[in-house]
Amino acid sequence: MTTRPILLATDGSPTADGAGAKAIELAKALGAPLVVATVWQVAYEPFAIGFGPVIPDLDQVGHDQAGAIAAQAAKPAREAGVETETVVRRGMPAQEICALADAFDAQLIVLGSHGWGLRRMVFGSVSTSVVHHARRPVLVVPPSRVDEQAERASLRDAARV
Amino acid sequence: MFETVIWASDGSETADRALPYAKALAEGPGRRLVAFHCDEILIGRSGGWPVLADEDEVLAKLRQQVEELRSEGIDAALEVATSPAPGAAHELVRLAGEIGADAIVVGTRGRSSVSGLLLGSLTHRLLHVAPCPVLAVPPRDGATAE
Repeated sequence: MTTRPILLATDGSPTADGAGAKAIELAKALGAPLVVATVWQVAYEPFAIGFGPVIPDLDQVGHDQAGAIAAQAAKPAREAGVETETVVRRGMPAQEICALADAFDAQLIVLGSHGWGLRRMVFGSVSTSVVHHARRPVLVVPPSRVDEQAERASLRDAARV
Repeated sequence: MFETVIWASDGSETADRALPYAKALAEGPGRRLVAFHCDEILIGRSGGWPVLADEDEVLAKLRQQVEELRSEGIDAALEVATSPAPGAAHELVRLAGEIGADAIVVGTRGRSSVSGLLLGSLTHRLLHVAPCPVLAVPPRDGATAE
């Protein structure tokens, strides 16, 4: 009988990176494979694409960006010797995460408490929804103080564009 | 990784369901498992009474559960806080900060002091203010392989 995987949901944010670190440690401790998932949708940070130059294939860009984020999160897991696969889904993050957990029969879902938003903003909406709906254990990882500074810096940079 | 783990319990079966997960996280030498319970007290006109009518029995049950953990060789302790309702989440966060907890384990949908929320009010609030990872354990593991 194979070990049920741990599902890590990431959006590439610093908080998600922190969640990824915990997921990797747990995967090693439990001898479980890791499924790294990134869910994207148009106009969902950080995939929001401004109305500048026309992008011919928005779907493909979104999909590719999400794939890159998932691959980036999978790198340290593979380097740590954890059996890892990546998955990209388009849709509402909480719903897709729960569906993926069911599809993979995950023993645990790991995600950040919030993504690119700061604590003051609409926060924890994905993590709260997943905890609410997933009929599986969910590990919600808060940002470290370093993460929060990094997120504020990236928002400042984005605002300057 | 998770050296000091808090297991928050309101004496419910849902909280008990989370205990094996707390034990799994707190396995090994040097690991510490702290059972936490907040005796929430009603304020206002009905003030002075605990929210949970069987508060005494809950405490007795928790003391027994901690004893069982210790007999299994786990460095376990019980911390009880008292707070006006609905202060459990903040008492828990305060404790987590004091003891440097690395994880908090809670069962969702327990007997929260605010009824009507499908996601227990403790867990909901906790996710917003916890200084460390929170493991939320549902009443039933929706494993499709079973």
